[in-house]
Amino acid sequence: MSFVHLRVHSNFSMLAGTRPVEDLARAAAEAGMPALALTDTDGMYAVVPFQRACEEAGIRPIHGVELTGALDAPGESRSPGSRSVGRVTLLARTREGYGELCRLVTRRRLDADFSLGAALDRLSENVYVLADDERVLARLRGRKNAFAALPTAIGREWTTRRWRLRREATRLGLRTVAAGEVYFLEPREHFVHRVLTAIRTRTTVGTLPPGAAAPSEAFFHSPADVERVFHDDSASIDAALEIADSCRFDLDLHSLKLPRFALAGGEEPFAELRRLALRGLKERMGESECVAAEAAPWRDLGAAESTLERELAVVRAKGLADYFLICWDIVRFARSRGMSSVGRGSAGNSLISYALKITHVNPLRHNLFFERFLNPERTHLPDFDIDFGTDDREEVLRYIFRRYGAERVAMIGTYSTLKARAAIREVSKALGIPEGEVDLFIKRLPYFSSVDRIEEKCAVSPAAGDIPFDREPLRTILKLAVRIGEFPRHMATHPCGLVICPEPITNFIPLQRGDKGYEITQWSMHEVEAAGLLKIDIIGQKGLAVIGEAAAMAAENAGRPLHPDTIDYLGDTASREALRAGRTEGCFYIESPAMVQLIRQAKCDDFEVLTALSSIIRPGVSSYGGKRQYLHRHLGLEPVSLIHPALEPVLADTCGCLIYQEQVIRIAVVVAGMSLGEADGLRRCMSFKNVDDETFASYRASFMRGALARGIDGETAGEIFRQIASFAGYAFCKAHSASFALESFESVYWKTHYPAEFMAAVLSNGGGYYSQSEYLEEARRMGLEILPPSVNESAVRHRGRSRALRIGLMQVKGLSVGTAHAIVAGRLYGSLAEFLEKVPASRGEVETLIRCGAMSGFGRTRPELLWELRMLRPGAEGSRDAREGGVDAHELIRRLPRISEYDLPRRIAFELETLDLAVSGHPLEMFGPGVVEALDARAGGRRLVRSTDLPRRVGEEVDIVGWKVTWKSTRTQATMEEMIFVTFSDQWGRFEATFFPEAYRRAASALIRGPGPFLIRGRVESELGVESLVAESLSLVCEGQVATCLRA
Amino acid sequence: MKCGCRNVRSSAAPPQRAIFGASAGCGAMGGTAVEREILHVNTDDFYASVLRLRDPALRRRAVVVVGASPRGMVFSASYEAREDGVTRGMTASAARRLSSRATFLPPDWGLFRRASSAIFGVLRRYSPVVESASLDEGYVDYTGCGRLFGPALDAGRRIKDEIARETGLAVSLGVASNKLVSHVASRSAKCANLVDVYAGYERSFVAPVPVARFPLVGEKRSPALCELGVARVGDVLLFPEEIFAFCFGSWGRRLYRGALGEDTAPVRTRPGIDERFTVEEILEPDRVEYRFLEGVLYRLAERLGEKLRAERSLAGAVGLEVRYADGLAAKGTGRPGAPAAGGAGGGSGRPEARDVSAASEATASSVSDDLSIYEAAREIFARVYARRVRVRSLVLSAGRITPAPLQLELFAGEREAAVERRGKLYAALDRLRAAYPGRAAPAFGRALAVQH
Repeated sequence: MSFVHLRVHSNFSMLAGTRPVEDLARAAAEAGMPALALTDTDGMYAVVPFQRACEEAGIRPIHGVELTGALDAPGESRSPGSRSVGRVTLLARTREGYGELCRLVTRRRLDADFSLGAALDRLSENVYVLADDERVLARLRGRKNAFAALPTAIGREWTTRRWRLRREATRLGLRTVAAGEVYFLEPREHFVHRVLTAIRTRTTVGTLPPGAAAPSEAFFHSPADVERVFHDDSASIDAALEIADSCRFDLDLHSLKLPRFALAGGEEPFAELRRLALRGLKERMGESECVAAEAAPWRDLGAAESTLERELAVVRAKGLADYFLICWDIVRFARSRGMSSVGRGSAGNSLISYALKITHVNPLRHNLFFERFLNPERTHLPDFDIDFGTDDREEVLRYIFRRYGAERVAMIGTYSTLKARAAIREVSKALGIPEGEVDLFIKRLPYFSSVDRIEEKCAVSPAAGDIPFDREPLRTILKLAVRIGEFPRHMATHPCGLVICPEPITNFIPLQRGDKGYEITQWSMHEVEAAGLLKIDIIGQKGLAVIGEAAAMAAENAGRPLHPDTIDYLGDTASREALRAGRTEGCFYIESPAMVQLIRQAKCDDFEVLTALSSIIRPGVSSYGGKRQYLHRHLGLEPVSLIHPALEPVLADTCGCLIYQEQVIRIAVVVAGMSLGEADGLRRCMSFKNVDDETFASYRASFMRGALARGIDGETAGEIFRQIASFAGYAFCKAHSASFALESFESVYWKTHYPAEFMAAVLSNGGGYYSQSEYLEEARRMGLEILPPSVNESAVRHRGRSRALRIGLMQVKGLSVGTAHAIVAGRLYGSLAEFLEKVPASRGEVETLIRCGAMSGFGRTRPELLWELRMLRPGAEGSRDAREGGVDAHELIRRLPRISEYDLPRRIAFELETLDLAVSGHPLEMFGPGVVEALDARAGGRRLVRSTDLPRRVGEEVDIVGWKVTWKSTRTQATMEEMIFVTFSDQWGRFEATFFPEAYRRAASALIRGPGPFLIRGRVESELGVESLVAESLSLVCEGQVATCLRA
Repeated sequence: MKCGCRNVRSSAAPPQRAIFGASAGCGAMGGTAVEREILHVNTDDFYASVLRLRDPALRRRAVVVVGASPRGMVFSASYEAREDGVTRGMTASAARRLSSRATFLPPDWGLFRRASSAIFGVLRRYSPVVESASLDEGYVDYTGCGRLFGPALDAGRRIKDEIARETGLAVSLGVASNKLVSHVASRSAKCANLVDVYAGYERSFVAPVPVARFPLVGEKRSPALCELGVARVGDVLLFPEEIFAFCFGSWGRRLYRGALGEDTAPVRTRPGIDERFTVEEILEPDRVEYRFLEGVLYRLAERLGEKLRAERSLAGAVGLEVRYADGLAAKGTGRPGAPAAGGAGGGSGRPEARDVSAASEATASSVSDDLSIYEAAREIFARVYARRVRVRSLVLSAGRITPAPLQLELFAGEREAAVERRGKLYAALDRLRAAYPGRAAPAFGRALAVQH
């Protein structure tokens, strides 16, 4: 006899189900079930993977959901706040039924007054309803599509329960069906379920609220078990099979579902696209870079137009005109509001995108070609990713929602998984183990590590190598964490993905409220794409926001508009000079220590080289030796050599090195005579690791045949193929690099010419690669005057003006946005008393303002102000007099003695605490001005050096004190051991230190303990004119030790 | 300073005397009121020293006493270990990282108690008024004992010698006119020294002490004072007293008095009610299961009930402290017979200190039976056990103590009869438990699950 489970929860019943859909489908197939229903709680997250898993397992998927909600409508309940909650299982019988479920789940998720009872009353015949709750069953009286769900569990209490339900069903004229709840596959997984429940309900396994966890019987009962339990009631099993059999419909996950771009007067989209593109191209060709004196093929309008026509033909054939118009429309809107945007990714290969001003790099000038973006052989939708300034993005999104209708647009959801650190932390909490006990281990885990094989990963990590995973309680914690680490935890808003649908989205996907207030899909990006829906990435980018804010501030300070669009960023000499010197901290994409080092080594000051560097900085390229090869050839230290002369035109721009994806395609064209489309197929096949061998072999054969036909011998052709194949996975799309390099150039311009404004904008936008405090140090190193926050002077955001940077009120920790605005609105203030009178700030906020120095303008020292505050706003610890105003506080203030201001170390300590920034000086100065001299003794009689001394000390062993700025770990190529690059700073500058595995092992435990100060010993080495320290040892200079040294 | 002191300790050299004030200090006061003389005795490195007595091989080596469980906290660290950065209260693993040379040992409470009672035995020879502040420190009220044993300074010296001779432990002593200053004096006397503060010079003696090391302030409150420009005790006196009183209430006033070197607290010989009616259960290992913890609560209620009945007392309030595995604690109080009364978690924990509303006063009663105590305790537990952390120990205390009436009710109704019957039952149980201690004692089912 057969059976089908109809109430099954996967791990998408978040923090309740213990198995992914694949396991469930496989278990059902192994148990000989013809179908399986998936009924996650209030969600249909797993529809796509479930359908795929069932197809793979050879069973039929039944889409359903377990819906929970109040049974009575909001007005009906007898007493407010005590609506009775029920739950039902709903299964989609038809495609219409599926849509009905999506809409129901959406309402359940979005409507605060959702009533399950009312929803049940309106349910159509396209949906089956299963319930095991008497109150719910009473509402379903006499309904043909409703069933009483009998538990399949063994045991006396369950038998009694079944009897009660049967009696109730008979009374109400309902049929019964054998349908027990399934949360896990095997009985022993009940503990995992309890741990998950404890995480969900924020309790511990020992203190779960009653009814929160499913009973121990909620496992996947075999058909034989069910048959034994229902030996006297085969009708209920038949009912399950009957339901399963009638839930048959095809959920189309394959065809494209593109929205139409509505045009006034019913114009044909393609004609409109062509008209816009041709007009745009003419405009673009009239821009400065195209009308320069020297003639070049890419400046020929006729040739450009014919390229455009060729691209248009592909777009027409693919039916993508609407898609292009939608993107054009978004960018057009942004431009009309004065916002800047950057089209990133492979869209930069398209001349249409360039003509429509979606992208800003001319593909003709930079040898980019359309086929990398779109070609007739390509089956997927091409990607349009468009960047806007962080704040502008919101407005753009609002426009899109307005333009296409809120019911057709939604942000894409993304489910976050626990990952190693959170999984270990959450499991510990569920088991009641104190945080402090596991925190030490968690801190040492490699970053972004998944829990899977974590022990192996930690074993080779110097920082985590000695974590005792085999000892309790870590052993149990880890076992559970591994089990649930990859489970979805909750749905969040994808940072940029947006879906636009031709019909209401809720016909396909249920929506819910995202963490940022938007309605988001219950499917992630991959499922949305797989279902053929249109996805656009609208990305909020800090780089653009920084440039925009710096430019606006500069214009305001100058008192005249600056017209950023007309500036020749690429030709500006001062910017090129700054770039060559590596003064790029804060600049978009080129600020990381590795990138700065690369730029300085390459002495890079032009666009073409910067584009190449943006690509070779990627880990793949450097790991195959491409980085070194390119640098040496670029600097003329090594001759350019090619395997075959045919590669000359392809690799000439990059010193004969393979750097871009476009080069892979071009090589396939020139060496093997492939079409561009076929060549892109070859690239994709090489890039994705999961391509089957057969496809790969057929591409290889085709490549070899083509090469032979062009007179290239088999051995050479084989070698070329091997090289491009080994490289393709690492390559970067040139169009993307070029788009970024253009923006990098813009940031360097603003940093060079308007340094105070630029650094203020960097800080206001939350920085990028580095911490806020490092950006402030950079500002200091640039010679800017750093002004502390001030209640009378600061704006909410940071402000730069004529080489002075004023810290904004936004930087003050714990100061609410409302208070910050109230401070700006209520100024000027002459005293603390006046401030307290005018601004409704909490005592904590005022205390922080005093500590960070924002009130130092009142002519009182910080300790004096803190006393004043205690008297004007007495807290709970004050006397009764103070609380009841029995004593005149002002009189006491007058009697307050003078108290001297804090010394520099204390001021810096307070600033770091309240601002995360050291305004008064470098953090190292916290440890007294004489630290460096005092530490000489510890350095074994040798004098400590400053970071600025390093260029003069190449080849020498030195001791230096540094404050940790950032670090990046990597693995050695030879032994795959972990090593680390650390950037430090001192009062005079920044320096890089490399810790090879052995040195890292010695230094690891000290390095993870805070930012410093560290005493580092190492040898100064220089590569291509750039110095760095190869560290041998490092020790944390504790405050006490510094004090001891000072005394000594 | 530390190095010098260690030398003094090892080579039985005569204790140094720190002189504060002029040599004619004795007669300076000349008043009629009896000048108090208080000795504060503090054993140097008590736990490590006691363990060294047991195992002389540990001498001069860093010793860290850690809780018995593998995840225990540092209970005490010897001077050598403290030099490596090990402090009381840190986790054992952190301590191991900091001091690889240290020997880590579990506490030997029996030994510690024996050593402690030996020390206090010596102290009691010199004065009947001795207060034990903890196992390793205590106060001696020497006022008026000078006629028997000579000046306090000489007595102190003899106490030191006797303790050293009889127990092998070194103590530091502070002599002053009150508890506070003698405490500061013994701290400044470390190690194995004796500091005598002449009457009238208390203020100048405490003035240079950093506030963090002043008993009234401590590590927790000192940052706030330092931030206000008060780094040393003497700085307090730069301000008018009213300012301290205004901003810090009664504590501010006490601090101001303390900065003047004044303290009127008496030396107490008998532990307070708090300590007498308090029972604690340390769980090993830490537990999280609600059922189990309720069992522990019942056992605590039994022990507390037994104590109350033994002293013929009734408790009008019950306090519970839940100590978590990470060292944090939550407290609450309640009244037997009035489940809704008492404050929320984090209350003072001292039943006497709480105001109980009139409404609960009406329903609440004073009890000494296990079940009523348990029910009150369980109600508090449900309220205060809110964190997702295992429990290390539970401390149950009784408050609002009143003597149990001996007189029986004249017109006893059914309820009173039941109370009387229950009283008899508990009396019988107490006798049985006294006769058959340990496992054999009869227990209620609830507590059986957690029986050792």
